[in-house]
Amino acid sequence: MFEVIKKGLETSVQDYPGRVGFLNQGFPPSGPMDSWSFRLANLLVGNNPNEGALECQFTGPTLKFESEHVIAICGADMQPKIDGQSIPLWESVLIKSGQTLELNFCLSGARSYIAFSGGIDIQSWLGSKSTFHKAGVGGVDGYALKEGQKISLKKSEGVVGKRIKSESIPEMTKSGLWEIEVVRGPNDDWLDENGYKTFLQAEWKLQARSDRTGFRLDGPPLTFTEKATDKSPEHGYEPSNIIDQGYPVGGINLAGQTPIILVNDGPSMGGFIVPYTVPSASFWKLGQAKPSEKFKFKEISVEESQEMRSLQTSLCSHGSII
Amino acid sequence: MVQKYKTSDIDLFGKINLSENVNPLVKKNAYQKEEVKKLKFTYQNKDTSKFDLLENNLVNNDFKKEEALFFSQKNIDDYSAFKKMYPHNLKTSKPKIHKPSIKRHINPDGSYPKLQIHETNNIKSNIFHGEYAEPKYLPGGDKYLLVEFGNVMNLELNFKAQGLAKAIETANIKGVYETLPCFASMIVHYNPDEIKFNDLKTELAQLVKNLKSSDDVVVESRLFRFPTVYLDKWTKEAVNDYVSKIAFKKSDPEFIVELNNLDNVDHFVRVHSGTEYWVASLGFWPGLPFTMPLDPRCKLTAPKYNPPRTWTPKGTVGMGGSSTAIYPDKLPGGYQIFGRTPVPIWDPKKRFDIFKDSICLFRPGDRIKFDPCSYEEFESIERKVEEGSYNFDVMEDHKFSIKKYKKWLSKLDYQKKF
Repeated sequence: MFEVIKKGLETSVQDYPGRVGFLNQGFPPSGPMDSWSFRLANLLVGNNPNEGALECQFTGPTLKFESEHVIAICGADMQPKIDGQSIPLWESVLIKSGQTLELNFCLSGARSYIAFSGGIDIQSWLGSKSTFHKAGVGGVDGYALKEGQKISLKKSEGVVGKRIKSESIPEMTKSGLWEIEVVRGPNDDWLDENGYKTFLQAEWKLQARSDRTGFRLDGPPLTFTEKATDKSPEHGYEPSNIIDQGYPVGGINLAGQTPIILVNDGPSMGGFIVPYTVPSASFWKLGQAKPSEKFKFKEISVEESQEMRSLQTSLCSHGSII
Repeated sequence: MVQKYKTSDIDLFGKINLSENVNPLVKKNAYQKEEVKKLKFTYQNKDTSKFDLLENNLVNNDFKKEEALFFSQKNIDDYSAFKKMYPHNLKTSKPKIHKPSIKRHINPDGSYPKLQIHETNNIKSNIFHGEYAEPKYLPGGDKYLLVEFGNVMNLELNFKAQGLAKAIETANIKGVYETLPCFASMIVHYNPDEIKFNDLKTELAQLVKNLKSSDDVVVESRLFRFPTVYLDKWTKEAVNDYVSKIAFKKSDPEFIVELNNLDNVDHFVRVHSGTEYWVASLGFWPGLPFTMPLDPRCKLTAPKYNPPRTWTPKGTVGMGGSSTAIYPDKLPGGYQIFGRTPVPIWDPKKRFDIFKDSICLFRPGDRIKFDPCSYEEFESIERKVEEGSYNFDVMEDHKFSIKKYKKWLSKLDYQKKF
């Protein structure tokens, strides 16, 4: 059990891959933005990689433990300390009853994951522990952690001193520029060739108005084919309007001239075109990007994106632990 | 020491007649000019040429009242205007103004247009306005696949999407997590470790081939009645807030009236509430229904907000494209909004029996009828909802056959005015 002393910016319980199977009722999957770091954190404390853990965004929480646990912190460097003593990332450590874990603002990356041996003891909601806090469902009472809450942890033996092989750790950007893979489609013929080219050549700036529902990008205007400008009125009248359709998670939604990457808590359906989609293996980069950092997109094929996913799955396994 | 006015000073003020020395026209224009500057700022110079034109007009004193509305959504959204607004799109020489009307969407016999190549000759691309001969299978990253059946909004395409979703469930294809059918398309969420894109495509194409003709389909279809305050104060407040903070636009109902050649807002309310709506899909937010009108005479169209609204009252009824939706909660949104219903459409706490099986009220294939009501009725229902004593107005034993629906369509009086 631990008590929330400081809640951090928006700290929530997530599990992997989140709430799958309710898309047709309008539920997004939720789950960790950077599932790579998330799964490694769980593996370090001896959990199933899918187990519920905490996602800390930009500024982490302060937690006071009332029982002894093995924990691991992976992802962004939020300068974690136990009773004032710095502890390493990507390594399992012991926290004793009465000790306080304190995370601060992020030095590199944006999201940090805290896994607890045994996992968090809360009820699943529609098959998942993930918090979808915009709708107030899942997680702890539907929302991000609040100060004064006491959260139970399950009992399990973890091993202290487990580490992640350096080649299995995702590498954060140092220059503030992220290269992000994209697959063309589903609306693959709405921009003209020049539009698709501009999209790939430009450096896009991540707007501050970005959260777990969508990442808004600033960049050059895109150009359209006649399909976008000559269509039946039920599409809507803007070139980027289409008859409402299901959105893939990771879809880059063109709302007017603002691309919005739809992420874990994003809408499942809507009336804007999706010229490109970020594949699941590149999601960790979105999770670790900070507002005003730059994105450059690199087009890959469906097959390549699926190979990247297999490779990432193989890295998120016991083989990466020493 | 404080200087005191003498009587002579006050007389001096009295001598100045303000109304004489100021040209009222100039004064008015100065005010208008001020407003224009404000708009220019909020619209981020997207269409500066129009502002310049207006300013020139102001200088020449031939300012017309109508031109104050130059920034109305109609202008932004009509075809020629957005060509101007996105100068990089100036490809076709003749701007074509597509003013939507109800008639445009239906054939004289009441059927929907199908497989027509666009009638305008100077369009080079072959754009089917209807159902595609073969569905398109489009990738959405590494684990989504979008099946697109066509590019119009009609019941047959939605039946196809629903039918394929059911067929996928029955066929139990390995590696398919879930499906999300919408108006004319359906998205499949799959596990690429178990099935590859091309194999999934082959499997789906096989299922599509075996789909029953929609004429033979009969589905369970509940009918919900929703008391709704049309032209209400709450949505007006949300629109006013948008206008004051984000961008200028015409009031939503008036804007719909103008685009659809209706007489006035009351006419709009009669048309909008004159039909049942078909729940084609749930999406965007838990429980939010995307619906389309079953009576083609009530089909209206409207653009979506650009940029979108940051908030919409809970229970708002709105439309975008030809789709009508109810907002389950206070949410951002892009539809034109004009009404509000007190009846909840999702209930995570399951306070009402009707949410026993699902926290979302609707299932695809349900129908909704909006019944215009007064503020008093609204408040009385709102109270009952709060107490937990509200009885949902639903007819559960209905079935819907597309064959019978088509027959009904063919008998409609298309001259009827609502």
